[in-house]
Parts: sequence; structure tokens; C-alpha cells
Amino acid sequence: MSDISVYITSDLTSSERRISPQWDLHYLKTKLELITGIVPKDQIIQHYPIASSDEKRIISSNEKYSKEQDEQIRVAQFEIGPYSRLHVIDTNPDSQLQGLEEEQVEGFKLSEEEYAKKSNTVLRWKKDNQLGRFDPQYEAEKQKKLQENLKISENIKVGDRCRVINIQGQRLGTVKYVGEIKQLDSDGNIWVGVEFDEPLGRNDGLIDGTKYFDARHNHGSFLKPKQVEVGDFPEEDPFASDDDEL
Amino acid sequence: MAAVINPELGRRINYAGNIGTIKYTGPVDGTKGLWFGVEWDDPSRGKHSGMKDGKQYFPCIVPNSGSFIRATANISYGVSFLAALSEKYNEIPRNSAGREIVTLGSSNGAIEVEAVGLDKIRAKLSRLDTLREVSLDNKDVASADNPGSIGKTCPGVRGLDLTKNLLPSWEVVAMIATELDQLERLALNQNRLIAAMNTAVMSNAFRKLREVQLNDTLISWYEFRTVAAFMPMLGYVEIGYNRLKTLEIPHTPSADLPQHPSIHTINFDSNELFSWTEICDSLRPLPALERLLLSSNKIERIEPISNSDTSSLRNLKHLALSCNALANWADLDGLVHWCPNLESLKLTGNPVVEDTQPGKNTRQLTIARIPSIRTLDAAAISSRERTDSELYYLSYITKHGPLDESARCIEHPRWKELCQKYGRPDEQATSSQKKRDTLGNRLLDIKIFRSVRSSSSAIHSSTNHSELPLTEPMTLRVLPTMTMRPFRLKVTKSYKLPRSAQNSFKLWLKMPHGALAELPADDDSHDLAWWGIESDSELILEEGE
Amino acid sequence: MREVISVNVGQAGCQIGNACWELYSQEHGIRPDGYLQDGLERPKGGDEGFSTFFSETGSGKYVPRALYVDLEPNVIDEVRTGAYRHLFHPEQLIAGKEDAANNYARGHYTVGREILDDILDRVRRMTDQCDGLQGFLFTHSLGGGTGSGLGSLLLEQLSIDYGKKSKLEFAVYPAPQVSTSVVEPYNTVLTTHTTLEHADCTFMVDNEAIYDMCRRNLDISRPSFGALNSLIAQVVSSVTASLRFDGSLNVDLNEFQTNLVPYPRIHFPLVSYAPVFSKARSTHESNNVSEITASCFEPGNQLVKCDPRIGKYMATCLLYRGDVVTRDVQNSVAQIKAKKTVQLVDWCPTGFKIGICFQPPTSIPGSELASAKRAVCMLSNTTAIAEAWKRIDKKFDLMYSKRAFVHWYVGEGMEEGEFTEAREDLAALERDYEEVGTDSFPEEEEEY
Repeated sequence: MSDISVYITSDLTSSERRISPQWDLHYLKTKLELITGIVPKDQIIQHYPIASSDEKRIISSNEKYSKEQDEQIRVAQFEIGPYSRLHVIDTNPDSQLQGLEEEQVEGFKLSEEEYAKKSNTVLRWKKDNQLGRFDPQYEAEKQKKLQENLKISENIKVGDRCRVINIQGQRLGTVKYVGEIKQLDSDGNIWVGVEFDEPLGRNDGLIDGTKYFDARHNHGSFLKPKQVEVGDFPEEDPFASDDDEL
Repeated sequence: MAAVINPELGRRINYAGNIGTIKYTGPVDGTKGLWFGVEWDDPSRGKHSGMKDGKQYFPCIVPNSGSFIRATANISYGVSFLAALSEKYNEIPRNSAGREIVTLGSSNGAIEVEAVGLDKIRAKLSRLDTLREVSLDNKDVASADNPGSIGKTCPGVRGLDLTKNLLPSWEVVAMIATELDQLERLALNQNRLIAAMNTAVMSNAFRKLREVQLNDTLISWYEFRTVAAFMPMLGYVEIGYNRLKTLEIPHTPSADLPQHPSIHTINFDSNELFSWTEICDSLRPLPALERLLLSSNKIERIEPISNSDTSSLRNLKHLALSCNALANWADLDGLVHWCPNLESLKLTGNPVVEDTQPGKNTRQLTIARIPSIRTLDAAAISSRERTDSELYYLSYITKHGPLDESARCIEHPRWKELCQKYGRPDEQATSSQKKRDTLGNRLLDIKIFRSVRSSSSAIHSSTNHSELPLTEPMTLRVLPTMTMRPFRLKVTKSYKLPRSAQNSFKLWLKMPHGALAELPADDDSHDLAWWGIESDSELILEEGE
Repeated sequence: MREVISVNVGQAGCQIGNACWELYSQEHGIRPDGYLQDGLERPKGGDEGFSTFFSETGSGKYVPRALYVDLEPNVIDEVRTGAYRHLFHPEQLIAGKEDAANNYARGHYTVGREILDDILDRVRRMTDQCDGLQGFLFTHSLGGGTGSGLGSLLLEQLSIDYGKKSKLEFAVYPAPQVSTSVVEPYNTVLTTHTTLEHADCTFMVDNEAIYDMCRRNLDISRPSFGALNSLIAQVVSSVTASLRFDGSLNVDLNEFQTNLVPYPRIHFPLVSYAPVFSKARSTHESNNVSEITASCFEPGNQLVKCDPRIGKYMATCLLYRGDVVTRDVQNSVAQIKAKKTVQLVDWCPTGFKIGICFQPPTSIPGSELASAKRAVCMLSNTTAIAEAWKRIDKKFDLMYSKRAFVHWYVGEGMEEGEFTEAREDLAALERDYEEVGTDSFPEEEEEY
């Protein structure tokens, strides 16, 4: 009798394995332990002759567990067919497996300092090569962007008609708010609140519990000044353009 | 419909990326100027079915796919085959010193994408005479070129994709194909080809064609068969997304169509076919059919057939019925007679196999009901899985099937056959009990003696075992089918020998008349029974140096 | 010559290796017995191309430059008795007798170490036959005992013996829902730690992502390993196509690293592939260049489950194969419409690159995957892949907080300190990805 493939399952695992009918039951149980983590004395082994069906029988239970007795039992006796399923149940409420699924534990913590001390890290690379915030120009660049943003926003006033173009196309609307939004960033950036003519926005002027302006549902959005073009953009009549198609 | 004969009628157009067919030209009541009535290939582009203010200007094949547009310069009427070919493949080398940059969309101009060595690709592809695979999909191809020029330009083409173009008719397709001597594969998806046939052009156009794709072309089965009559080598056909409800052939005198003896695969994916019997009857002229794909149709029933010999699908090996409306097991029983030689089946997405409650075991029941299949839903069926499934089916019948024997045979046509194969399920329990008993009986009790090591001499086959100093025997219970390697492992364990000793000790079998036979350590090809070991055999274990 | 030696380790590694070599053979016109298909005079791919992966014997037989290694004999026996048994020389198939029992320590220290010399010896014999070895291509799983333990041991050794030669990996990442053994998180963390400084570039394959792709795109309700592996093989083939076939750039193994890895530890590009469709379906979609390019930016086409829309890109290679012209490629890239702006790390040299290879994809007869005229494989070094490490680190912590199963490893002679050392390294890796993700200037286009 040669090895056969079977499915081994437990609450936490599921795999296809090969077992040999010549093994004794104890050896099978030690193999199952290495897969499922359930120690032999706690195992209940259920055999499902058809892997996906509900029909099953218990081929070994944890009651009256005896290693010596298990060693006298051949796996062949159980008539385990290829591609049938062995499901292993953990009967020990205190086993190391319990709670592995849902429990929340304090994970491994690597503190800022410990990380900073390490030699082979991206942080070290950035420091050594003056990249990112370690670039002497970084702050200046950041301020420059902020100023640019500010300057553009000076030309945008509440009540202006505006146009926003991106990949999805063009949207028209009215400017409803210009100013900082501390929920979005703390760098002092200026944001523009727009109410679109059509329900193509993300909100109604509310962001994280603060109402910055009133807009109809899904008509409002907060955008960077650079994205908002103000000018003469009258509201479009959706029924106006049928001249060239009937 | 306005009875104006107009040269534009039937012309294919591309209007801002939307492809359609001109079905009407003329005025529309209540408006000024000229209009084109267009049926769009994409129905969602349409506004109505050719009707305005109660007046029908043109008919639409697909409802609500029509609208009127102005005759503007934005309408493209397409280009010739060679114009499209050279536009696509004749790229001018850029001499860009190997590097070229394009800006990635969706990155606000922030990401530059670099390509190296594109000139090498251009140089290779621009040698049109060496091209074997050509794709001119969505290139507004509308016409062939001067006779002879296509064959001269790209004589090597084996595969041609003309998906989504402005080709008006099969005649134009034939004019292109007839010049491509080597053409084996042709894709014509998303075209609308007028069937009107110029037999002279068609007759020689597709002589080597083996594969054709006609998905989303609204072609009828009759039109297909008329065209396929000009494709003597045709083997593989895709004819999906064509809104086919029926494969009926109109009763016209010319409906006398030839057979298609070489077609082995036909794919009807995503049509609206509903009558299994009609499909089968219609496929009678395809005697070599091996693979039939009917995914996403509307088949609700597979009607029974009394005699497999009359089935047009008796040679069919592969069948896909995924995403239809089959709801009863009887449909699958019917399949057994329609397709007695079926090897693989796809059935996912039918109500009958939807696993609404766990443990319904539809896979096992499907396998058990169709004895010939070896693959179900792209997963192979092992012989063991078949046995398990059939045994499961038997016990399922005894639990859920009718009690009356003749009713059982009707509801579960394989009942008798499977009972013969495995025994009736009610008898099974006892027989397997017997089997288990016999297994116990079959275990061998083998006595093993350990030779007490003496420095004097090793054992030879001529050593008389009665003279050896031996320990008390240990009895091992093993299966006669065990081979040498696991057996030795067991001996190692039983004597608690170190693992390293596993390959060094020798095993001798006591033979009658006092002789010994060595059991080789490295031959794992035979079982214990083969080596002559029986119950109560006695072995001697001699440890190595 | 620029030879590449494939090393398949452990059950998953060997099975994926099988699927790959079946496909490679088909693509190069080599029959299962190693001889050329009828009507061919030379293997496809040109001498330069196919000889990176195959060697030629005096009798005109072609032999894969591949090594199969497993600690237990079953899978290797399947190769020895399978349809491709004549393709390989017995020397290329190395099987032990005792498995690693899902235990990294057994694969790495005890059982694995016993056959290490034998393996290295055979590697040496293969490299001796090479004129200009480029490097090694590993396939192994991260969660199994042999794949993780012996796989990392081999990588370490090869890095000592062959110094600068490139070492690329295809590594099967444990699927979040389908776990083959309870200690997969340990094995994964331990092997990742060990190989972090030895592998130059690692392409991860998350079985769950492949599983979903099979279900969604191939109508396979219960994908078997065979189905998963043939899809993986198609992707591996696309990555290696530029090594084996002529095209716009004839890539060397080390160029994957040069192009994709700006900093050595950040070497886990996310792989996407398109198109994936079933043979049972008709070619309704045209799968033109712009469609398959766009698909690569869809999470459903990724080989690891994560969300690149919330990550930043360091580098990307788009590898096209089959019938594509340069203009279509360039236009598709220029017009890509992802659901969200593609964000780039802006403080370090990064790169988006395109490669085109003439050879179209091939489909093996038994596979459900239809053969397409063209395909694209996208390799992106994005910070989004750090999600995969976070997931596995969390599972590691759940078990390690109770020291569950640690005795299995200690019993094989491993020091417990190696667990903390490995976990700390992975924590640093998570930090590394965070560092990559910060300091870029805010996008110009934002909407809330």
C-alpha cells in the first residue's frame, strides 16, 4: 500500500498532505500535531470520507488516550481513502492554540530610538544621503509650495463660479469656502470648498463633524486651490445641446 | 422607411469613437436640414429605435440603438486595409539614442516613463513582409486595396485581428483574406457584416482558415453556415455575444447547406439560446464537433433522448454549460445519453449546482451521475474521487430517493448499475465489516530475534541458525503489503535503535532446513509477501559494525 | 552566454517549477523528452535567448538549467515519473528521505543541513557548465518548512559561494485564510529575515490572490493547486520572457534589481498580470494594449492582496509581450486612467520603465487560462506591499506572545533569540516602508 493524499484540516489550518496506511496511529497524531499544532493527547480526529461532505465519523478521540495503545493501531484500519479529509479538533481549553484567531495582543514594538540606532535602514539611508526631510532644501521647498498655494487662493473668493478638471472630466460649481481646514492638514494650507452644480462631490460641506459650508448632499468637495479655476462658467442646461443630435 | 436610394445607406461610420451603421439619410419632420439615421453598435449610445414623433424612419436590429446625427466632418468613413496596416506598423524610427519618455496618465504629469530600445521593435515590425501576426482592431478599416497589393505587402500573415472596424460586408473581408495565402486565424469581432455574398470572391478567400472569431457581430446561425461553407479547413469557431435565440435555418430553397466536417470547437458564449434539443439538431452538420461551449445562455432543460446513437453530440468530449438555468438533476441524467463520450464539463452557475446549503455535495452528485467525465469545472476527477462520489450517491439515494424500486430507477438512472458495481448500500455495512475483519486477519505476526554480537564471525547464508546465540523474540504485526524501507524503520523503532543504524543492520529470514536468506536493505520495490515473509515467519536482526 | 539557474525548493517550489518548465518548453518548442518539436531546427528564442535557461547536449537534447530540491521524496518522485521525466537529468532532482515537518529549523539547521553539501555540489557542477552565469532564480514558499528553511539556507550559501551573482526569488506568501500549517507565520518571518540581505529581488505570490483570480476570471469554483500553479507559471514566464526572448531590451537578471530596487531592503515588487480569461469564454473584450495596461492598475490583477492606491510608487516596470506596437504602448501609458492618482516617491531617484518582447504568451493544453495575443506584466515597487508584512507580523505576535510552538524550533537546535531578532528585523522593514512613504510633497490633486 502506498502513500495517499488526504486533506488535513483544523480550525486554523487546511492543507493537502500525504499519509501512509502503514503508519501507526500515534505516528499519525504526531504528524498532525506538526500541521495543526494540536498535541496528540488533545486530538479528536474526525474522518470525512468525502472531503466536502458533512458525513463523518470519529476515528480517534482524546478519551482514554494512551500512546502505547495508539502505537498498536495501524492507520490502514481506518480505510482512509485518497482525497478524503481528516479534521482535527483541539479539546484542551488551555492549549497554546486557543485564542489565536480573535485575540488582540500587544504586538512587537520597535521604538523610534531603536529604529534610529539600526545601521541598515531606510532612515539611515535618507540621513546619510540627505534625502527627503534630511535634504537641506526640504523645508524651503515645503514653504515655497505653501506660498504658491496661498497666492493662488488669494484670487479665489466665496461666491465665485468655478471649474474643476481632472481625469473624470469637467465639473462646474460655486466656491463656498476658502481657508484652512485643520482636519485635513496642520501645515497651514489653504483649501477651497466647492458646491458643484451636479451631485458629483464627496460630501455636503461637512468634514469630520465640522460644517464648513452648506451644500446639497454629495454636491460638496474640498480641493486644493490649484485645482479650482475661477471665471465665467455659467451653469449648463442639460437639455440645451440637442441641436446636433436627435 | 423613406424610399430614397442613397449611396450612404449601409455605410459604416466612426463618430467620436462610436461605431454605427447609416440606416437613413434625409429630413426629419419638424427640423431643418439633412440628418443621418444611425444604428449604433453600442446600444447604450442610442436614443430611440429609429422613430421620431410617431414616425418610423429606419428599423433597428437592437431596440433603442438608433439616433439622428448631422452629416459633419467629424464622421469617419474609414481607411483601407493597407493604410491602417502601415499607419500602425510603419513607425518611423526616432533615433532617440535608445531612450524615450512618455508621461504616465493619472500622475498629473509627475511620472515620466522611460522606454529603451523601442527603435528595435519599430525596425522589426516595419518590415511588413515578415509580419505573421497582425492586429488592426479599432483602426477604422473599411475597404480592401488594389487587387494584389495586400498580398505583395504582407504575404506572411497567419493571424489577423480585424475586431471593431468599419468593414461593411463579407465581400470586403473576402477581398482582404483572399490575398493572404497563409491566413489561418481571423478575428472579426464587433463588426456588422452584410451577408450579401459574391460567391466568386468568397470561394477562394478562406481556403486555409482554421480559426474564426465572430463575437458580437449579430451574425445569425444561417449566415454563419453560409459563410463557413467557404472555409473548408475551419476547425475553431467563436460566435459569442450575438443575441442568438435560435439556430433555426430558414426554409428557403437555397438553405441546402453543406456539412462542416472539420469544425471541432464552437463557442456560443453569452447568447440567448434556450432549446437544448434545437441546438443539438442544428449541430448535426458538424460531425467532428468535440468541444461545445454554451456558457451564459438561457438553457433551462436538457430534454431526455432515448437513444445515444441518434445524438448529434455522441462524439462530444468537452462541454461548457456554466451560467445557464439548469435546475434539475434530470437534466444531467439526460446529458449522459446525449453525450456518452463526454470527458470534461463546466457547470458552475446553474441553479442545480448552486451550493445553497452546505453539504449538498453537488460536485459528488454530478460526478456520480455522469460516468464518463474526468474533469468537472476545470478540476480533474481522480478515480478515487469517482468511487467516493458514487458511493456517496448510493447512500444519498437510500436516504433521499423514493423507496419504490422502479421509481428509484427513473429518478436515479444509475441506481441499478451502481448497485451492481458496489453492492446495495444496505448490504454495504456488513460487507465492509467483513472486509475489516479480513484486514485484521491479513496482518502478519513476525517474530524477530536479535543476534547476540560475537566478535568471532558475521552471519552468512550458510550459517545454521539453530547454532546462533539469539535473544528472546519480539513479535511485530505488519501488513504483507509493507515494503522493506518502512519495515526496517519499524524494526529500528521497535528495538529503539539509533536512527543512524537504520541502514546498517542486516535482516535474515529463517528458511526451512536451517538456512538463512538476507533481505536486502536497499530494495524497496517489493512487499514483504514477495520476499516470502508469512505469518509466523522468523527473522534475525544482525547489527552492523 | 548569460545563463540563469533555476532552483526550486520544497513542495510548492517544485510544483511551481514543474508548471514553469512545462510552459518554457512549450514556448521554446521543446518536447517533453527534451528534443525539438517537429519542423524546428533551433529552439525558439534565438541561441542567446533559450540558452539562458536550457543547455544543449551533444545528442541534440535540451536540458533545463534547473535544480529541484525537496526534503521528502513525494513531489520529486512525481517529477521522476511524470510526463517531463526525460527532460531532466537525475542529478538535477535532489530528494531527501525525511521531511521538514513544516518547521523552518528542520529545513535550515537539522535535516536541511544534511543534504546541503550534496546540493551545493550539484549547483557547482551546473555552474561549471556556464560561460557567464548571471545568477539564480528561486521558487519556494515562505510558509513551509523546506521552502522557508532550506530555501533561505541555500540562498545564504549561494551568496557566499557566488558573491555578486544575482539572486531573484518567486516566493509563495501564506494565504491569509488558507493556512497549510499553524506555524506558517513563524516560518515566513524567519525566512524573510534570513534572506533579506541575500536576495536581490523577491516577487511575492499570495495564493489567496491567485485563488480569487481563478474563481473570478477562469470560472473555477474550487481551484486546485494545479490551476493556481499554471497561472503562477504564466506570470513567471512573463517576467522571465525578456531574459529568454528577443525584444526592446535584453534584460539581464541584475537589471530587475537595478530598475526596481532603489534601496536593497526594499526589494519586494508587487506583480500584476493581464489578461486572465478562460478558454470557455469567447474573446469578447479585445484585450488591446490600453485595456490590459489599465487592468494592471486594478487590484484584481495583483498577485498580492494590497491596495496600491494608498501607497507610493518607487519604481515600476511594464513588461509587454506579443503583438504590441510602440505607439500603442506609449499612448496607453500616457492615457492610463487609474481610479486614483498614481503617487510617486519624489525625494529619491525612481523610475517607470517599459519593455516589449516579441514572443506572445502560450497556453499549456491542460490549463484553463486562454492564450492571449498579448499580455503585460507589471512589476511595481510600491509601499502598499508592506500590508503583507503587517498581516504576517501580527499573526507572529499572536503566537509568540504565548511562546506557542517555539519548543519545536528550540528542539531542533534553534536559539529562541533568533525569533526576536527576526521579528525585530521585520519591524524595521515595516518602518522602512513607512520611511519610504513619507516626505514626499503632498499631491497637487486632492479631494475630500
